[in-house]
Amino acid sequence: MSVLRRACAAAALISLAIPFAATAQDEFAVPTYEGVYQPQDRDERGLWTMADEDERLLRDADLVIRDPALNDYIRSILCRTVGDDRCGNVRIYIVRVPVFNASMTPNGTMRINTGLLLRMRNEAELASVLGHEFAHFELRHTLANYRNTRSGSDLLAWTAVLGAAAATYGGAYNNNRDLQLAVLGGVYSFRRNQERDADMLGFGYIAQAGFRPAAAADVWRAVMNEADQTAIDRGRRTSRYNGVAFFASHPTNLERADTLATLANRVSGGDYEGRDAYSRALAPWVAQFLADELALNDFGGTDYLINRIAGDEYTADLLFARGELYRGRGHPRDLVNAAEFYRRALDLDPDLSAAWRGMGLSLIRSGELALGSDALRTYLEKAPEAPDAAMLRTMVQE
Amino acid sequence: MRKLGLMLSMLFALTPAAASAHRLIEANAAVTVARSDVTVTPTIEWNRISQRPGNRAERWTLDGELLNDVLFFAEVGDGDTLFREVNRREMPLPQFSGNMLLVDVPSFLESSLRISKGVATFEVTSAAPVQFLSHDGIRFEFTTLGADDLQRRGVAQATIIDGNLFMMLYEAPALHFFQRNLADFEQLVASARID
Repeated sequence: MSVLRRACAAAALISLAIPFAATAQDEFAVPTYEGVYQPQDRDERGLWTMADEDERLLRDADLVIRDPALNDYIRSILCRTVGDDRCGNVRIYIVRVPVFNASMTPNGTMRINTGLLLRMRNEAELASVLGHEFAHFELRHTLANYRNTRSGSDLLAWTAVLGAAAATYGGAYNNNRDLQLAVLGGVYSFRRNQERDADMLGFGYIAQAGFRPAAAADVWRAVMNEADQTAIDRGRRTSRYNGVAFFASHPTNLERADTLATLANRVSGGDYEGRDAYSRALAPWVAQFLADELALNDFGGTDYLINRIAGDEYTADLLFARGELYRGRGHPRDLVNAAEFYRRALDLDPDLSAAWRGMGLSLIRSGELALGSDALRTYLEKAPEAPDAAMLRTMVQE
Repeated sequence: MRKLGLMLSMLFALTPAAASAHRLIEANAAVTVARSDVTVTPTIEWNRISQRPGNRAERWTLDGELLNDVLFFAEVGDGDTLFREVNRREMPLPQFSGNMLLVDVPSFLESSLRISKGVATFEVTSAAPVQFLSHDGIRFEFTTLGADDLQRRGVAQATIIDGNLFMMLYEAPALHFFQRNLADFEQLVASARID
């Protein structure tokens, strides 16, 4: 059985390694599903034990969004992408972190950041990312990588532990948002050639499921554009054409996007995008995900992000977020723009009472005290129980 | 063996900051905070963490800052950040602006905490006017979910005097610790004076 599996895996890898030797149809062929897999040897069992422990922490974490509707929906896209039998092996954890990332561990734990969900415009884009992550899992890249780096990984792991401990207990403020995963970070990062293999198999899933393949390249172009806008806004050169861009372990995003675009042209996928369905499912969450994003103090990147999600159709949530973004930066011209964004948001959704608050504060900071006071008064009528109502009331009286 | 040695040396390299981290603050004596003209007079003993969280900040604790964290900020002016930059290039902290409204202070703090401390969620539960340092100020309460997946509660009092922000803040785990030392923090706030 295991010999057979190895032979299958080897065959799959060979076909991925020399794509031009095969016909276009075989090139993206999805291998036959092998059923439930159990770790085979000591290395793999050890790795799974670590992943199991990691998952136990994640399962109880307050950061995980457990809303059944959202979880069922994301799972349905994964299942549509890789097939029902394959997706049965995956537990999905939606983690409230406003950063574009998703990861998958060898035991079948898929971690999806809310920052990733926010950046997707349709089901095809999400399918391209989920398919890619699942491909790492199916190709057992973690194990291969672990064997390659095991000699160095003990030290890396300990460095990570000590670093994390120092950040938490030493009194220094540090960015330790991935504390729980810090130890395994060294093990779970994939090699560049593994990324390419996962891209190939990922396209296989997308094609089989009938999604529009070019969506994959769209995702990576957007990642680059956003990083560019962040950099430009902060007055520094963009890292677009550098050797290492997003993750050091991944191919550069430019290379990635080009490769994906080329592959997308070769694969015989469908043209399904699922934009409306995706917008509907995410609608209850967009406001919260955007609020998390706004706190990151990244004006250029967030402005690009809001524009990209909006496309040619701004929703009230997006206009409100843009108002908050501009008001947050607070240059005199920003405050004028912010008031306008809030006004347009209210045109679309008169019940979005928080927009009255934003408009009032923008106007007051612009020196338009009477108009600002009126807007705040409207807000307080609509939301008398707001947490900061007492504070705002003093501003209205003045 | 060599690996153990390396680990130990790394450990020692990390400890000095932790070992010399605290200085005792005596009870019932006025003490200036955050290198400013603001004084407080505690009625119990506190520990001051000698590593400053920011240029215009000071940190006190009783049992360690993860369990009770008191922060003083004074004379935070135009362009200043609340905390020391963690990664100025990739994740710069928001800068204070003298024309900020008092009601904007909670979101300024939120952004600063999220970036510098990796706080995952921040929710203001109340905000009301208050007199602080003999000026009109804001008192707000909030809840956070830390990078360590622990729910914390916090309360802060702030005022803006001549375009400079002054703030005192207390944050502690929602379970047990917040309530236990809330009164001690309130006492510090009540004793705060500016010359």
